[in-house]
Amino acid sequence: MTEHDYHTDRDRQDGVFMSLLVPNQRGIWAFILCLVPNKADAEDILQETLLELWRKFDTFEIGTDFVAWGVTIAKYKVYEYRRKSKGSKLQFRDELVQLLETESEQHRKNISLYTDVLRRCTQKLTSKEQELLQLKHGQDLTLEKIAKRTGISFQAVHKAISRIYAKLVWCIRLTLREEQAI
Amino acid sequence: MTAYNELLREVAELFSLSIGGDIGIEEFRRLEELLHENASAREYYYDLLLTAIGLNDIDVMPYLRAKEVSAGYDAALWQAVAESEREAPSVHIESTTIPATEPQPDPAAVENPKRTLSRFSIHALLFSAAAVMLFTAMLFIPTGPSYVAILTDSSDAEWIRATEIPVTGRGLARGEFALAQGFAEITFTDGAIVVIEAPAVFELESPGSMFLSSGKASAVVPEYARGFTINTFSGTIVDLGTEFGVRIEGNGSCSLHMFSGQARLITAAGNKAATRYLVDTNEARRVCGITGQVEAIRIDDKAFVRYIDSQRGFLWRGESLSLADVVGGGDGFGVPPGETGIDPASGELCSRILRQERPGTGQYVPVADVLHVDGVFSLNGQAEPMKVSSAGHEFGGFGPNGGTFYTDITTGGKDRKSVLDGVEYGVEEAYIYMRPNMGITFDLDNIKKDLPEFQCSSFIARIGCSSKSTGASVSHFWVLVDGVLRWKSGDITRDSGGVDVNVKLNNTDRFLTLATTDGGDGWEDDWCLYGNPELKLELRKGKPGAGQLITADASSRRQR
Repeated sequence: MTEHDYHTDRDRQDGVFMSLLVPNQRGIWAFILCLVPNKADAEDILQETLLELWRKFDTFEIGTDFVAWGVTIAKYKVYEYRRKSKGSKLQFRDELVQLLETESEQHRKNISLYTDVLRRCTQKLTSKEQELLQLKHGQDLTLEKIAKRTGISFQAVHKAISRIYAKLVWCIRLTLREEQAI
Repeated sequence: MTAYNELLREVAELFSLSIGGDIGIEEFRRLEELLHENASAREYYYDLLLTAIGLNDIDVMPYLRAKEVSAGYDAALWQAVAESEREAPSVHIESTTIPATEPQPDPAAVENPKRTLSRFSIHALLFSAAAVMLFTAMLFIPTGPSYVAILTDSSDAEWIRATEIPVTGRGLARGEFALAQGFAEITFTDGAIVVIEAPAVFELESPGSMFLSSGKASAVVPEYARGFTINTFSGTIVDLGTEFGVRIEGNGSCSLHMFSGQARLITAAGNKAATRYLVDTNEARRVCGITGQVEAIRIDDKAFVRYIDSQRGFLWRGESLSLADVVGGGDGFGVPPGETGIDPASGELCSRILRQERPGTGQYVPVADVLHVDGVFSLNGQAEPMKVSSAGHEFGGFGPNGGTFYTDITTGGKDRKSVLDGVEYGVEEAYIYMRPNMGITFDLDNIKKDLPEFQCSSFIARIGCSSKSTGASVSHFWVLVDGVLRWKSGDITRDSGGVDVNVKLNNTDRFLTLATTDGGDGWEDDWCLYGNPELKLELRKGKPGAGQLITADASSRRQR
């Protein structure tokens, strides 16, 4: 095999990897965030998981469930994180983790549908609500920074953001219920 | 507010705190309690989770991202929003319609969307095909303009003099670092991967450069990161798409060792004009820290740790995988503990070698106890194809042979009878001793699984019949891959001396078979050996398709 052939082979493999990862990464991310509900820690685990997926891509059987494979590796990474952070009091108990792990699977499977409805629901928010989301998710600001930027208290920002989440969940549930009823 | 709605409100608020890292212990325990005890709370939690994830998705949020928040804030208005949110009625999921009073999107805001990417959106962007080349380098980089690199791995690292102790997986800002102990792998945002070996002092200058004040550093620079620079007190190394090591000596002298590719070495001593040197693969230069004089030196390609995997406790200095060590029951990175062998008839690993003539079985026998060995076989003189792997690969070209064999397939023997070109194998160098009419098959797939960051690029060895042999009969050596002949020797006798074998391997090759036959004139004088049989390893990490291959020299190995 020439060096050129090697590169071509690697390029092809990387291309296949990307084509599988792009549509499926949200499912893996949802799994991690569900068990580790802290975005910064969950992102670290996601990064390690993605790297491991890339490293072990040779062992993935094309045609099988990529998300299931990714979740298996993510599970290992989450457990590893939990072992390392055993002293932390900001970790769910084992029983709850097992419960969430099992129950959340169906939700992850509906993630595309959910995301599609969410897109429509965000347009129904007030402009100020949208701006709050822009600060929180568009600019990735912490609640504290949003409070500083907007001149309102941390508590008020927190309550406002929580209510926007609640409003969106409500909208999504209703929309899905209506569409499924049709 | 109903108890149900109160429950959901509480879950939403706790979730919001938790996901942003603002949650306290008591609040976290409360969230845990609610989720553990209440299925509705969990259902709501899953929905909140998918909502938060969706809001980070640029495809979901283009409209929202179009709305940049203006620089001047109307605090009073925001306060009013907050107050209204606080006072707003609770969620009522019993309703079946969306309130008509909800405002529609501002058309002006939809025009000229100006997207802002969150961290997760950056992941999405990275995983587009166009970003493949940047994948490895940027995958780990948290947002924030101050980060120029990330600590991607470390082994026994002890940091001093750092304003913030580096943490594996986290970004590194510009600044000086001192590694008192251990090893650290740093991936620059431009794509270069550098392994620092303690004790070392260095400064991260930019996404594409660093200053090495003391210690050792090895760099892997993919094509797309070409131009990566290591500055030192005595010279500057500008990479041209390559892998190299840099060592700073006590007096400020620096040496550059090129493992592959090319780099430019630029020196400027005192008031002299800068001098540029192009340093090629397998070359090395030393710049005197006092005079600035540059001299060619011998490359030391085992002096630098070039890859670390802290999880496995694995440090790689460019070694090849020794098949002699594998036959001795090792992992390929040590030396056989003593004379060991594999019985070609039974496939058993044994420390007491059976030295007697036995009829060949013509059977392929799996080897269960030796890592990376798939199986062994002995030829019985028949013309039928011989099975040479557990996957059923067959080879029918071994030709005439006596159908008997003598002794096991051994390694680690130090009887001083295995001599090629004056080198005593077993004493000075590693070897596999394999008298005629036998074969052994190595499981390349298993090696790849064990070393996923590496590729076996070739099999190399120096073969021959010992010059200490009692006669000069002919023997033949064979190298098969997946049952297909890749290399065959000519007639080899004790007088032939050693012959170099170099068989290229590719990523899809599964089994490597080494065999010997007696050439049809008896086995007694055929003291066949494979000297330093090794698989050359190439690092795959950091090479998302377009990077430079990294090739290790096969001349020596780390001691176990």
